[in-house]
Amino acid sequence: MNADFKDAHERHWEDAEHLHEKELLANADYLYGLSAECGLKAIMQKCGMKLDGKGSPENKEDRKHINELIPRYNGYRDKFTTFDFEQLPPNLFKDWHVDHRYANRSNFTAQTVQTTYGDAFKIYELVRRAIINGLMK
Amino acid sequence: MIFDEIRQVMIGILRPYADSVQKMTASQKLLVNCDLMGRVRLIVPSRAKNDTELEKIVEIIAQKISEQLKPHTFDADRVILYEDDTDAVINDAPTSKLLSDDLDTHYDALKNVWLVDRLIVGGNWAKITDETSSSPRIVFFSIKGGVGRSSSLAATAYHFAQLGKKVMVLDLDLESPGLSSALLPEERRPEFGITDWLVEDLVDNGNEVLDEMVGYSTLSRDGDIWVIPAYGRKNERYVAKLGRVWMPKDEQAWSERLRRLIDQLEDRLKPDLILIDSRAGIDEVASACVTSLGANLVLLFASDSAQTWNGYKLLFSFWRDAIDVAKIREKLQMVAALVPVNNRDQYYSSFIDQSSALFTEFFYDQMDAGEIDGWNFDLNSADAPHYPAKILWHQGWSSLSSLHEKLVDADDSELKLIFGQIFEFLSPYLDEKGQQHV
Ligand SMILES: Nc1ncnc2c1ncn2[C@@H]1O[C@H](COP(=O)(O)OP(=O)(O)OP(=O)(O)O)[C@@H](O)[C@H]1O
Ligand SMILES: [Mg+2]
Repeated sequence: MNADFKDAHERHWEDAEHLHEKELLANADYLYGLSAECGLKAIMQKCGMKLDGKGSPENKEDRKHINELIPRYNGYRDKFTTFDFEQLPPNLFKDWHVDHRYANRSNFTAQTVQTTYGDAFKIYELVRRAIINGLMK
Repeated sequence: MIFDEIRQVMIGILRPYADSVQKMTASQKLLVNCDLMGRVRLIVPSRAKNDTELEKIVEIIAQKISEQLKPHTFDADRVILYEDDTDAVINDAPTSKLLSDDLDTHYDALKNVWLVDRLIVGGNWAKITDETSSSPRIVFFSIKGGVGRSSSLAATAYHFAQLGKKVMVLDLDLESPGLSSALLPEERRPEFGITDWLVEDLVDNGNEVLDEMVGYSTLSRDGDIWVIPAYGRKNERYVAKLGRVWMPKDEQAWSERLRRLIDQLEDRLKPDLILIDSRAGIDEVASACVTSLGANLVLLFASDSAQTWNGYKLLFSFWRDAIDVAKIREKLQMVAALVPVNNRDQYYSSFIDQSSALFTEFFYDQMDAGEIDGWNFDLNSADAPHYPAKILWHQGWSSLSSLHEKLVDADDSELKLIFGQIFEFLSPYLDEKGQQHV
């Protein structure tokens, strides 16, 4: 199956919201992180990131999870002159890690998920704005 | 369906559902969002989603939008975006009521429906396109406005048409167009202009306007003058269109799109000569006219003033950093514009000092003693690109109320006196073309 970053962003977001609402915190936290990763990759693609035949980023440096992806995004964003996407603070998702999916659920509090949600929302908004402006369908 | 019709069609779609729209918009705006490519989406206050009745209406409206606004919209399932706070998504974009206030109060129910335009300026203008192999393309460029650029272009078009040539003229001064009215009386203005094509092309709809954007000038008896104006007779929402013309599409910068337009027009009209009125200034639009349209020659209009020389300095230093100077320098030619009547020799010598210094700094190869190869010219070498072709200031041409009328009773010897050096300078470009066709 080929990657569709924008759609993956949206479905992870929707599911994360459901889980968050039901206070299923551990998986909500995980999916917010994946949603942000996919959303950001969708924007990076718009800003010139090349994909290989399977739809993953050509450059290995771009095949990262969200906690390592922000500087890559900012780099593409700086070179893209058509549209002024927002610069993102590099410390977003600094306590999030994909390996937390193996952790015990008691590690996730309402507070940690709230932070992850806040960071993921910034990327959700970024994608939303790209759609409204017509840079993404 | 073209861009200009969006507002009218939207009103037609919403009117039968005015009552429902009024409910949706009781506390929040409903937005007809026109994106950067000129495609419409409806941004609906979220509360409509919680009311099954309203939600159904929204779906019907989406369906109609999709049917009636294509290609200026999406498939129905992508037409609607729900937002909790529709004011927040406007985000400073230009916004106006879908229905202007002076319309019948009958439509009062639609008073909270707004048209939002996502606009942009910018683009990639540092690429130079190789010159074309077919009709010569000559760009008329200046740093400052009001130097007689458009008048000279019109006179040039007229002159070569009188010699039996087919001349195609493009007004790229989209922000302050003027050229087309010099060559066409208003009643001959075509329906559309370059701006319309650039907007329609964003949704692959350029052919819809292509046939209706060429005006035929009656000034010439023997040749032809085709005029492609910046805007046409159908001219609603010009600013909303202008804010989209610079959009790239599928990796093509707007200037490459423009070049594609010129290629298509050239293919249809088969002109002997293409004259392009670029806009004044050192912005990217002006610059792209020089670098991206496949020009064979760029006439750089200048008057001998500090402001002009400083402007060229800025522009040239940008080019030096951004593009391959060797590719562009041989296409440049200075023009001394509106040369004053008095003290001409003194004026020229000061002009030549300045333009020579400029070209030496940015374009000429540095020559060490004894070297002979290299691209360089002496101060007073008449072949040098810094050595200006001259256009004389002439009382009969100053503050004209109608350039068109002036050209209708053009006096050939007066034209030659004022613009003759430009005509001479351009002749070889036509001869080359003539030979290619033999
Ligand atoms: N050779 C000339 N002698 C005297 N006046 C002239 C001459 N050519 C043009 N003019 C006058 O100068 C003014 C500006 O001319 P024109 O519109 O051709 O300049 P432009 O460089 O195209 O300006 P813009 O930047 O506004 O497009 C007009 O009033 C015109 O009548
Ligand atoms: Mg002009």
